[in-house]
Amino acid sequence: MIGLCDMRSFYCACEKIFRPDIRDSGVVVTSNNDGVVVALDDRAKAVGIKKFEPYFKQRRLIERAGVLAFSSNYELYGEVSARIMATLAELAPNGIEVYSIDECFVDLSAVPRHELKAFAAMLRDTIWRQQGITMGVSIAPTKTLAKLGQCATKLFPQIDGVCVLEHEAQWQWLAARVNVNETWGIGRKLTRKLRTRGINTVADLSEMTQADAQALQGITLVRTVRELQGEPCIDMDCQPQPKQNIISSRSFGQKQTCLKPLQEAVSHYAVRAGSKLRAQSSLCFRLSAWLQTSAHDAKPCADELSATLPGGTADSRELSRVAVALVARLYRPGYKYAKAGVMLQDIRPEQFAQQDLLSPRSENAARLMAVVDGVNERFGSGAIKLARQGGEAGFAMKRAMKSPSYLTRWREIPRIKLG
Amino acid sequence: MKLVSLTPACARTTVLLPLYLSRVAAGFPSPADDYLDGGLDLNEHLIAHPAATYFARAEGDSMIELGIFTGDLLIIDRAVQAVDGDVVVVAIDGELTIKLLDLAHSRLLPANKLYRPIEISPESQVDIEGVVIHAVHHVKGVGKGVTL
Repeated sequence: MIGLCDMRSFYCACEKIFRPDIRDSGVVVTSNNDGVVVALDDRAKAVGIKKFEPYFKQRRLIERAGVLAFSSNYELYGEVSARIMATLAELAPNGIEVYSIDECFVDLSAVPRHELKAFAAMLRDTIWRQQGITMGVSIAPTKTLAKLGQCATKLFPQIDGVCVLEHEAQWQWLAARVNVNETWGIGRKLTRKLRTRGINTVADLSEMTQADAQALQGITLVRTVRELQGEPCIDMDCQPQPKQNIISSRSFGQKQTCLKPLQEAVSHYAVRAGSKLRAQSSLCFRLSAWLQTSAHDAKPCADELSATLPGGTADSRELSRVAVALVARLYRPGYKYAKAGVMLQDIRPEQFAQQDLLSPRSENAARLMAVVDGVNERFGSGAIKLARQGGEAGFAMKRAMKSPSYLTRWREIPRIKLG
Repeated sequence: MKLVSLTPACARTTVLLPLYLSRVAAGFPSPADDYLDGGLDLNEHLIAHPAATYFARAEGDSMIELGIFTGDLLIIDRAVQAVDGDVVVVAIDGELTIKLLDLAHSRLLPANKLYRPIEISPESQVDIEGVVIHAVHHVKGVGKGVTL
């Protein structure tokens, strides 16, 4: 059996951990630069606030309803998530698969059937007590059915956030009550196609013939249907693979028209991508950089260039140098750039990477980068940086409503009044 | 996501003494090399449950009789079960605070005569949000200008 742990309104819940005063209030979290609402809890939903709608359009509604708005605090959410995953990994006998920042699958093949429900309740209680986050736990023979089980934990409060789908009759009953678009892996476009064929609920989808599924969407839909019938087709992946691409990209706080701040920005992104690359002990053999204006700009533009890195590298200095050179070629005066990014491609594990005879990798560079990473880990990212990265004023994100980084910065740890 | 790298914030400052005291290449190896223990890790000493531990700064004087002073760094564990006589973090009137847990009399006690105990009635729900395990008190320079 496979369990799925899903943190409820995760970003909003993180904002409440160290703020007992706002635990009964609605909360929304805005995107980078406070553009749109990216997360909201049930209380915020109840007053009509919509996800992915611009924040400024909903601001009056948010204020009038007494809902609190926060800029996204990824330092906090990332740390809480890491703690939850570490706790679950310790409790799960056969490991977990981290699926996203607020979801993970748990291999429960070693837990006896009659103990599944109690085990799920134990996971839920532990995370609530130790992390202050509410979690739904659903258990089923397949990942797709476990995802379906999450709907039950949201629809029926009386089951206390734990749903075990053991028998066919149980998941069929639930599948008949859930819309097909809630199925794991079924997007908006496919939902429309399915609806025109009279497939409206998850139960309808589970009755689709293999030939029909194959014709409509190929093997992925066939797998989904078989998983809904209780046959495992998507394996647990407890050993995370090194990332194939590493992307570092941000929208700017203000539009940029000059070359220098753009180069500082991509240099910054290249350095950040480089530290991720080294964290997984890999080298990259290709780097691309891009610049774009807002899609709604009067003069829209988006360009990308890439360069190969013979011999491979994980040296931030080299990555930054290449990114800066690419941006110099991409840049055109007269455009208002809103976003830039860097992507590291063709990533290979360091131990298997061939040396290039013409440009051998320097051992000193690897040692220098290890020292830089060590210092930045200890004193906060950016403690050591390249001069090329410049200051952050121009392209720093607007996060006007950000809460403290309670768990990751000494100066921002919670203050407790002893009175 | 790489699970091995998910070391929580509180355990990131591992400082270990070097494994070898002497360079083997030049001259004689140190006779102590065979007796090294691998160093002392303060995290290991102070933090039993890294993923469930957080730090906070104490502000105020209500716990001074138990040796918790303003400015102290509190190490708070959410994984241990609070028992009678523990110093705990509780939320009272929408604010986190710290009290001594007196389960025998259903009370939360301050450790300063100037403050009053808080009765825990069966209706009033008090959630314990962690147990204070250590208070780290900064001592360097405290004697300046003090006559004892």
